Amino acid sequence: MARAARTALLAMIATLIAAWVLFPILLISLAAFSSRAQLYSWPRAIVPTPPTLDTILFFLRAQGVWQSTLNSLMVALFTTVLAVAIGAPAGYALSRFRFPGREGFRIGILATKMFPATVLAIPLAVAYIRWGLYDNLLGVAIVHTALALPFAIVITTSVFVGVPAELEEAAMTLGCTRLQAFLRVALPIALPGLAAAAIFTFVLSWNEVFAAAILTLHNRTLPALLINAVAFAGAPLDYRFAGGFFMIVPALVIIFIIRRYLMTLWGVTIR
Amino acid sequence: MATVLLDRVTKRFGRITAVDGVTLEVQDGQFMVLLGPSGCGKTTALRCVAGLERMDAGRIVIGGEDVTDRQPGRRGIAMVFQSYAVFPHMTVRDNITFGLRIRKAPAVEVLRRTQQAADLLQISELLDRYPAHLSGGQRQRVAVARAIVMQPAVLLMDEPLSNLDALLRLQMRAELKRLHRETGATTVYVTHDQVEALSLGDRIAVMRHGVIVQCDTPSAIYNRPASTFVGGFIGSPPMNFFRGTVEEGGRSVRVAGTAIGLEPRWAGAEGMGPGSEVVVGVRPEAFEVMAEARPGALPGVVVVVEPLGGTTLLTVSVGGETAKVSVAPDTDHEPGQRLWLRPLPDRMRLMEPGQGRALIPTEGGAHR
Repeated sequence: MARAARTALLAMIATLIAAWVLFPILLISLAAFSSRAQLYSWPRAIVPTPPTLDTILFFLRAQGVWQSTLNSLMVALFTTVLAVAIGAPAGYALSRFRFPGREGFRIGILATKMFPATVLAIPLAVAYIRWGLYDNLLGVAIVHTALALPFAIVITTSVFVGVPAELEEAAMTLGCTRLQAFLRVALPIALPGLAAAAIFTFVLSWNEVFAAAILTLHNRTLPALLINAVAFAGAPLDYRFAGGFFMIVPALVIIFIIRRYLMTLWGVTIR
Repeated sequence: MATVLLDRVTKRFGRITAVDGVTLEVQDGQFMVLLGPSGCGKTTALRCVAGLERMDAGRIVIGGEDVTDRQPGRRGIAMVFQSYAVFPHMTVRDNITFGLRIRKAPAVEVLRRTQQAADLLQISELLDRYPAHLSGGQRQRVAVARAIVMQPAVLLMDEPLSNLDALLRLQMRAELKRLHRETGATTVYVTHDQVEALSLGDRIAVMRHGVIVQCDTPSAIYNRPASTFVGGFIGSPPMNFFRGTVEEGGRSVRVAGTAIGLEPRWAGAEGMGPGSEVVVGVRPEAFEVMAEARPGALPGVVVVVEPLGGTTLLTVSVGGETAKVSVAPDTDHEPGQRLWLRPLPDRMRLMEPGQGRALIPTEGGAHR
């Protein structure tokens, strides 16, 4: 009896949380397929009849959208390359070796999440102007890398923990050097997991607003362009909804694809 | 082929000394088993030979060459791991040829040796499969094939059978023995299973707390254990131990009120002074079981009767201690029955009660 009640309560809470996340996404998606007239009419229909692509097309034709999308892609790619190049070796080391300061390092990774970006914004902007990185896509990518690294390291650690060290040792007894053993055995097996880490990093960068908005002026990434349009330029509703939809979809699709890895990362296994 | 020498090898993990100054010599072509309970350092010792652990002290010499500072791949060894460590992203064929390809062996040679190894382990049918589609036993064969295809001077095996079910283990055990005969490779084999050790080894090195406590032939290890630890660890059921007191200047020992006659060679041996406390070790099959009281026979009561097919195992209560006695299966015994156990004098082993070290009979004492 008590058990059934607990299950019911748990299900209710889970439903509430899911609704809290999913409902806005649903509304934005519906709105993105409504025409401008529908969006401004009152009372507004929740489900667009008929659904239309006008709003999405209007957004895609708006000034700066394609350039910003391209910028976002560039930044996200830079970030992914940097974060994996730095994070994967760190993850490998954490999964394989016991070294002095290992625990400190693990906590240190999380400590980078201690400072809110708002606190760092002004000093970061000043430093960037000084270094000539301001309004530079590479500069944005560097900040995104710093933001993504904790995740990249944690994910790659769990990926390499999943590759038994004995496999590499077996390769070494068969004539491989340490590096060869890694490249020929550990890396191919870890590749799907590393890809998941890379994709996660990509999404993180793709969706990042704050640093991108502060550190760019002309070379806006897509989120920076949108936040500027929404907050300061008073963009029309259809632009907002279409923009929101355009931001959400890649993230959703990607998270869906790599959810298995994220689950194992969080210590849950679903089969 | 090659000899293997562990020369005063020490390996520590933090404050724990896993291998403590172990010296062990393995002859060319010998099958050496490292046997001991978990945590005794046997696997660590093997990994030192393989070059997978950096030693804190000591040398490894293989085939007369000091390989202490050489990479695992440059020691002339091949290794079979407990988890098999078969590469999951490669077919069986690619697994077996992996080492040869790393060594850049000629293609014809690779083909020939792969076929040979696959035939030897009867896995020719499986060459194009992935490990995920193999049973545990088949993976085990792939792991062994991958090692012997290298034609190593020294073959190292770390509990290779412990993940197999009982029947398969029995079958693989015989195959490993055949394989050793056919390849002639010097073999160092780690196990915690004493039956495996007794059946496979030319020599058994029993380890405990990072040191070798006895290294000898299987029959010597079984019949003349160097300590109560070895006697208790080897044999299933293990050796029986009784506390006793030396009497008559070492001609007999009193256990649970009964004087048991000893062979003359024990008289005057170290630790056998009159009144000395000793531990008497007797294997379960080294009793003469009698239905009535006789001199030198311990009175007991049967507690449990376990027919095991080939033998019947009795649990007998002897003066507050329990003894395991194995008897022929056709004998009639039942719980509650009284019987008398006379340890066979030539199969008794005496130990000192402190460390459990075996006492050594005087040379030629038997002729006195």
